[in-house]
Amino acid sequence: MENHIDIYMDNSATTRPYDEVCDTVLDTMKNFYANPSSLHNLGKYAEDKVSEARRFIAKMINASEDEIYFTSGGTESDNIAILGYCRKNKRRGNKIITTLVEHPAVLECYKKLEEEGFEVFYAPVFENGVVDTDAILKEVDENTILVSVMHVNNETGAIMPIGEISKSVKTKNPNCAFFTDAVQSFGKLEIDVETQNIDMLSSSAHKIGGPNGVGYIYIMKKIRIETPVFGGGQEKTIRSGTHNVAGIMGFLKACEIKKNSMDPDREKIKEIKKYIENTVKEIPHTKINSTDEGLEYILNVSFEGLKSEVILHVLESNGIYVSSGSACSSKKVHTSHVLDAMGLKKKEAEGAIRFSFSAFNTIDEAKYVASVLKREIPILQKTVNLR
Amino acid sequence: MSNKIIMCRYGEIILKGLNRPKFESALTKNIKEALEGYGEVNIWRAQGITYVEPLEGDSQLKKVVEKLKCVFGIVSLTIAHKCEKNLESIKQEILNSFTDEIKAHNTFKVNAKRADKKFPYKSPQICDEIGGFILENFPHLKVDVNNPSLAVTVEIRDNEAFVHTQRVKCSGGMPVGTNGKAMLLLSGGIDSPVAGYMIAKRGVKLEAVHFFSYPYTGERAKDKVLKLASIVAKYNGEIKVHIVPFTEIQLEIREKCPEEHLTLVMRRFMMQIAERVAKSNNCQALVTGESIGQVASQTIGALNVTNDSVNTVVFRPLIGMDKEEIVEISRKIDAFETSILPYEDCCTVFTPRHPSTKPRVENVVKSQQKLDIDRLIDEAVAGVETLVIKSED
Repeated sequence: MENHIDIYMDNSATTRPYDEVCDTVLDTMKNFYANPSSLHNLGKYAEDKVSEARRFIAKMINASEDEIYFTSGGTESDNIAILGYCRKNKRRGNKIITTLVEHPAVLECYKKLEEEGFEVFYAPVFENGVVDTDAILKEVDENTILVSVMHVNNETGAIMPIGEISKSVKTKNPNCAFFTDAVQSFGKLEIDVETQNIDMLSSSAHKIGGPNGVGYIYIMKKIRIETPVFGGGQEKTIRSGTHNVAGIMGFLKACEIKKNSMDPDREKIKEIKKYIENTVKEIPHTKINSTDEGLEYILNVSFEGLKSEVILHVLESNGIYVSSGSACSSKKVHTSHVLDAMGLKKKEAEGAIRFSFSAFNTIDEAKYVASVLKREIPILQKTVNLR
Repeated sequence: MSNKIIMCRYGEIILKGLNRPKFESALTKNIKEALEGYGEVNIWRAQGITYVEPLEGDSQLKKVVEKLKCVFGIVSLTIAHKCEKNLESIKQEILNSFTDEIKAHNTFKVNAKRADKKFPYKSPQICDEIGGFILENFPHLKVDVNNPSLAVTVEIRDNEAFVHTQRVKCSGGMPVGTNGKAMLLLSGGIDSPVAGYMIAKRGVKLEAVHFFSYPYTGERAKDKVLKLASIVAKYNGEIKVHIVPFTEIQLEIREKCPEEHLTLVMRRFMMQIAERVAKSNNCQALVTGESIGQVASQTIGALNVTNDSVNTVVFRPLIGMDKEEIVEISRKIDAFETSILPYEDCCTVFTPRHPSTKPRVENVVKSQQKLDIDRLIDEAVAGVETLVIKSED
């Protein structure tokens, strides 16, 4: 535990913020503290700041600025978009299609809608974690009002072909809307709501080096929703609540940085991912759950027969911070619904670890992580399980 | 300022004999500890009742009552309204403070207790006066001396009068500390905090040992145990938690003992270490959350094997209880939600696939032959980290 190395590879949980983001947040809190909804000039200046961020973000995804609604982050965006859209449009049909591997912020909304009488179809995924497009298309019918497919899976990095899916869905039923949870992809992958036929999209600042507690929903102009949030009517009544001006400006700063470094970041991170992946492959009884086609920011691996939490603590004691792919309680291990859907064996799912990267990570860190894995995993395998 | 005083009553049995002063002073001490940080209070004893007077007003009263409900030794409490020692003041107090309550009832009676025999009215006269007054002001009421829905009690004390109506049930038991000290084996589960609660209830002051297997278990698992300790502390008063480094022992057992006996050898180590820590902290007993047959290491055979490793008496208050009964108490003491947080604990990391359920002591002792038991225990005990945990709220 006496260790001063800090290698943060849990960036898909929360990304380490850029220094410029922290400076911007502080500066905004000091200089633009007024409520953007206030009538006076100080309020107006704060509102101008919010508009500046709105314009920039809209451009990034090729939307127009009045289609961007600021929220408190990914979960709230998912809730407002999904519940708001389905409840408003229930007269047009009661069928929804999504995937088995969505984030809980999405899945739990659909569970709630099932209770309200909607029929939800959960499309399976292939071994590589990518959703079965045919399964989705087969289900689309007249009664289907929404297809909801995440852009990048948060556990494996699998990229879903959202543009293709949306296009085919709309060919079959032009009235069906398409929603994508883009929390893990916005700022990392190019998104164009126009060419990719996206009607609604959710995103969060703290996955790309921005602050926690801020995100947005993109809702295409012609889409009508019935918001579940009530109050002072901010964000054109879609999301009431005083604007988090500092958070929004921090988000803007992160977007500016990410927009200019999207490709070089990917190149660099690809190398880091590959290095750790190759090391894991050399260790027996392991399995790589992320593919080369997936987003390089995430590497999910299984150490068969070991428990996630134990590996996590061993890495932590060496100054390396990652996520576990399963949670343990005293009697049973809860494996990840994503890995289960990909068909992993229980033994594999129980020992899953997620490395997730940011531009702050270096190849030297990857080398250190590799050396720790090579040293510690065989010891664990020997002592804990594989006698 | 408030005119309210809390009257704490204790069980009759405990009052017998010469134990009473010891009992009462322990209770006073525990009440003081429990109310630390809850504003200034006066505490005194008279005529077999402990009085607690919150000096900072009604806003403090509710919290103080909640804390007192967790102090063992108090069977019930009453919130009494203090007023001047004359019938006029008593009547006024009834109108001021009890009107809403009286309106909600149909039948009533008045009890009078005259501790101050110099008071000009005798008890039956007080009942007549006050009863008549209530009937006059609340004509919907009827008197029912046998089975009233509301009983209004008037007490005439040396310096003042009290009026009260309700009794609040408390935890009962005996004041912690009046029955010695014991060492609780505290895991992260549901059972051990309940076992601790039950033994503390009998007046036993607890300390706890916890076995920590970093990196097989993490800081959050430790935090969870400390949180459980703070819940036990609500009843026990502040609790010392001895964190024992256990990784080395588990790895040694894993390497050198047959798989079917892993858990039993581990349990024996835990008991022996707990006994060592208990002795050096003047604890005369061990407390565990075992219940017959709940898991493989709690069969009669297994309990014999575990029990054989120590000479100290082991209390197992849950031994005859069903899981649901244990969970019920766990919920009652607000430990359940913490107990079920999903972190690895030291018992789940090294679980044999087929544990022996009918072990014999000789066989298990033989299984641990390859281990340097004394050295391992010495090292573990030397590495103990002791924390003092207070009740959180």
